[in-house]
Amino acid sequence: MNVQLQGLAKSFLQGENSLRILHGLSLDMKSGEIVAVVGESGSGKSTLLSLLAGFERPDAGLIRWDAQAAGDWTEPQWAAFRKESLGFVFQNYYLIPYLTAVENVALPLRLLGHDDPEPEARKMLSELGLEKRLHHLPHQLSGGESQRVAIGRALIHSPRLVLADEPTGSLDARTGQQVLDLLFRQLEGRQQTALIVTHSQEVAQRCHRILTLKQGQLWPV
Amino acid sequence: MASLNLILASLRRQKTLYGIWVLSLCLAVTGLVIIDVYRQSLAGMIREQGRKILTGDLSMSARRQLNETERRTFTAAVPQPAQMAESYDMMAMISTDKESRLAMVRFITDAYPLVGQIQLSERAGDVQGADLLSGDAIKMWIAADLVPLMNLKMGDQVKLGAITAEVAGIIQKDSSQTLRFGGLAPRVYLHRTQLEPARLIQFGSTFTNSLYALTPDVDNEALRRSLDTQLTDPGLEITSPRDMERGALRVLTRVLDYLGLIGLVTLSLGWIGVYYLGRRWLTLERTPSALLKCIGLSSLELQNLLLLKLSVILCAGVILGGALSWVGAHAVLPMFKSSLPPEFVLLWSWKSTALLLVIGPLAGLLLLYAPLRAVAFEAPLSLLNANPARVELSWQRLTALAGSVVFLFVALTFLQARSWNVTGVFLAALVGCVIAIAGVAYLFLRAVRSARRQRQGWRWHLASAQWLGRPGTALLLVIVSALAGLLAQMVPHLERTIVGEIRPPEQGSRPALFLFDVQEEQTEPLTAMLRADGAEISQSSPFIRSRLLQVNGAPFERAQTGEWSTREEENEARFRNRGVNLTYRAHLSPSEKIVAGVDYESMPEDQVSVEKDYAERLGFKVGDRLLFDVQGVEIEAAIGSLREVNWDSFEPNFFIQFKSGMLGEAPKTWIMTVKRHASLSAPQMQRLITGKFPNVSSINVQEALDNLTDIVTKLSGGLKVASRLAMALGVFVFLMILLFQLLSSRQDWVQLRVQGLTPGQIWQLQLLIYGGLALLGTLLGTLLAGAANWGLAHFAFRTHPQFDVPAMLVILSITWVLAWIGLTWMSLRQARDIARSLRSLNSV
Ligand SMILES: Nc1ncnc2c1ncn2[C@@H]1O[C@H](COP(=O)(O)OP(=O)(O)OP(=O)(O)O)[C@@H](O)[C@H]1O
Ligand SMILES: [Mg+2]
Repeated sequence: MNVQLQGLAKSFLQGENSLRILHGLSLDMKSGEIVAVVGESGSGKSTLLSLLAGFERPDAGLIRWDAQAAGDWTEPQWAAFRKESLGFVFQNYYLIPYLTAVENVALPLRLLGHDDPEPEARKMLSELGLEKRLHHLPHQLSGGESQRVAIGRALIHSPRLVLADEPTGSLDARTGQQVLDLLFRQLEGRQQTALIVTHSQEVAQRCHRILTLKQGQLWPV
Repeated sequence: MASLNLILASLRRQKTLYGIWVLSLCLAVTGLVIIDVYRQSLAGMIREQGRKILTGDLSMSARRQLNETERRTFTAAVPQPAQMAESYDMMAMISTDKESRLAMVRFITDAYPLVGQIQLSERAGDVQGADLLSGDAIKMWIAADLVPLMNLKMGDQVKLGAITAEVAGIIQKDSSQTLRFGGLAPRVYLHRTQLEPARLIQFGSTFTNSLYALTPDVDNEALRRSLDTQLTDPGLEITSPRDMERGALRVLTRVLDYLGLIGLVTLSLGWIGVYYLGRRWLTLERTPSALLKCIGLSSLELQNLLLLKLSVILCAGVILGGALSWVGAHAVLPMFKSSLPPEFVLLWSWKSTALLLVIGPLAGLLLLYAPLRAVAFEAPLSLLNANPARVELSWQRLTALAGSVVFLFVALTFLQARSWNVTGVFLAALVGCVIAIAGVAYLFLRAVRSARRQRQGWRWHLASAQWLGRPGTALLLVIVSALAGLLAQMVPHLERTIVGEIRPPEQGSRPALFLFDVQEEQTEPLTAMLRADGAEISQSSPFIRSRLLQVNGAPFERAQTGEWSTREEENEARFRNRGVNLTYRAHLSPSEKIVAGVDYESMPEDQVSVEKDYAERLGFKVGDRLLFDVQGVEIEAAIGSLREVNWDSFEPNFFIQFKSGMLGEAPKTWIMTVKRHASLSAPQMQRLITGKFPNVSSINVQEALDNLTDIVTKLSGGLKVASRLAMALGVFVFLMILLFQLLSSRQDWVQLRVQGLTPGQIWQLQLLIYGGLALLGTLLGTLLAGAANWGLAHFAFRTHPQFDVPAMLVILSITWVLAWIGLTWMSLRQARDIARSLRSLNSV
């Protein structure tokens, strides 16, 4: 999926004065491109992802998917977009605590109305090296395992856009490396567009393009 | 000081949690405390008004003429010169040309009332018995109720027995009257000198003779005790103002007992809420606790800090609860005002404060001490961990805590019911209900588990996963909603059953009139007269007054009851102190059934059949030998059988019944019932009978039933309010548990939003998950309420249960609508803003 952002702006009210976080931000991503976004803490990276996923609305600017403008989408339209076309990976590998690993991974398919999504989820988990952990509940999984389950859940329904916010931020270096390998293998194998926010040089290096978020805008490195 | 600052700072920051916590504690205690306020106020009023109600400091009464020895003993015992008054009370018919009515007639001496006031509408100031003597005419004062009932006015001539009296006063105020229920037998006063001319006391008539005395500066209780030992006849009653609490307000105190039990259930619902919120609070305290420990606070110091904080919350809740109770007690006062004496005022007693402290702070500390200590003594790092290794309390401590909670609850129950039987039944029923509810909830979860399939829609998939993943919460929610439903549903059913019992739809079989004091020689002419008018006697039974002297050779003495006597002891004392009325009949009536001992037909003449409940209350068994004094003649009989009696038949029935023989010659009066008649109404028949037989009293059965219905409706008003409060509190606690459930699982709901569910879909899901549990709970509560009604009807009231289906549906819908509104509000509030939720999650 092509992603096109034009002149995005977002500020937050902080008491009396408003805090300008994003200002005139533009970005073009081709289908299948994996872009890394780096930047100082508090520069607005998470805010950018939040706008892309429709959690928040921009104050100004354009968001386009392929040729479609998302500017005046309603909440149900955003929800449908997230359900069908978006995969999201958090730093803190949130999983639904009362669903097993395989049920967590199968959830996006189930929400899309698939009849029997678990065989597919099982396949995904074994690709992620978790064939022995299918029926564990999240609190029975280690951090790295949880993050792999979260990645499985973000990718299972082959979303056209994947957003990841520091996907290896809470993992040790080796586990982080493994998780990253899996993520990139999946992304490249399926030709998915992805925007990865990271503090890690290593992660950034593996992406097709690296951008820095500074003064509310994206700059090439 | 530093710790107090810390506490205040955190109180400010988590306003919602603490606010709701305080509120639920406050609501939990309110019901019970309101009831306690009424109880204490009534007791206070009796203390204040007891003398006025008794019309003296001490009285001696019997259901017969007091004899000379008794009078002398009593007069000698009180301070001299004795200031005394006397009265004779009896039911009698009063009639005008048009109407005849049963009245409670009191013949009084000059000095009556020694204490208190009687005031008449057309005369300023208080009157006394002597005022009935002025002028030539025979005078009477009548209760204001009688004026509309009999269309009376001042100066009217009213027939009473053999005399005709003039209405000389309409009573405006009578301080000896306590409860003002119904107009079954309104009061009428005449002077003592008219007792003999009226000729109402004939052989065997039912009446009470009382002597009253003033005992200034004397310890009344000591005096009463000494009289009790000098005068041992169980038929004699010595009463001091303190006894009036149990006597005069018996019905009301009984209702308060039962209201208190409802209050206890609401209290336990409230405790569940308080406990649950306390656990949430402790989870929130984990991180700060870990940090405090890291900067050097010891476990013990931390525990004390947490205890202090808990106490602040609990005290705030209790102070608010006390205030709310006080306001609530005033708010419901208008409902009962009409049945309470005008002197009644609400009082706050230290006993209510003590109760408040016990059911508030003490109970809260007991409930939450174990989890609080667990947090205080946990290692700091494990405190920061999401899945902590719990520090468990030693089992001794746990048993001690659990034991004291159970003890507290049992003690509170007994305090409310004042009866071990009721306490036992109530606790067993409560535990049984909780077990039944938990059992059904468990079966429900089992069924959900086995019904879970791969190929199921996401709603059912997620809902079932959540139920199974958090069975504890699911169980708690079901129990809370079921108990609330049970309480709310039970009262309308019971009211319907009791009212239905008093007035069943087919009234055909009930008699129209109930006649008593019919003299032996009047039976024939009375029957003949009625027959001439087409009316018919349906049953007549001999009525023989006696006293029980000995049981198995041991004297049957008056039982004493102290301040702390249970209801059973009081009942027994009442039964003992009463004389025993005997009858004889050759065959059982249709309303009787032998349940133990020999068959009635084959029972020998020297044996008696005793009513089962009466025998139980006094501890009689088949084979016991009873010695009676029947008008001076001693008669001994063994108990040959126990009988069950259907009292609702309104046919004359007796506790102790001979076959005939031994009593055949005893002096007696007759009790009769008159069948309904197509063309002759009950009042018409009453007028006929009183015209010819002025000494015969008659009760219009339908009117008596209407009066009872009226009383039940009034009393059930209080029960209704209590049960509605219980329902409201149930819904409140349910929603509270839900709110914190939603808050603590906020992360899960946000994830579902990220996965593409709309706020509407999230709401549907929450409605399915929590609404489903509430639905299960309330339906269970409804079933249990029906079962409880059925059980009470069968075993306690011995009647057919009736169900109030419209009220049931209304209550169910109200509960559901309330729960639905609450859930929807919370759900939409929560789902409003994903970005904010995500950020707040990240900051944890
Ligand atoms: N709702 C809000 N109200 C006020 N300020 C906000 C709000 N949301 C974000 N901000 C501010 O916007 C700025 C950017 O936040 P954002 O989370 O996007 O930073 P980030 O680049 O992701 O930082 P990090 O690398 O530390 O995660 C921060 O300074 C934050 O305080
Ligand atoms: Mg960020």
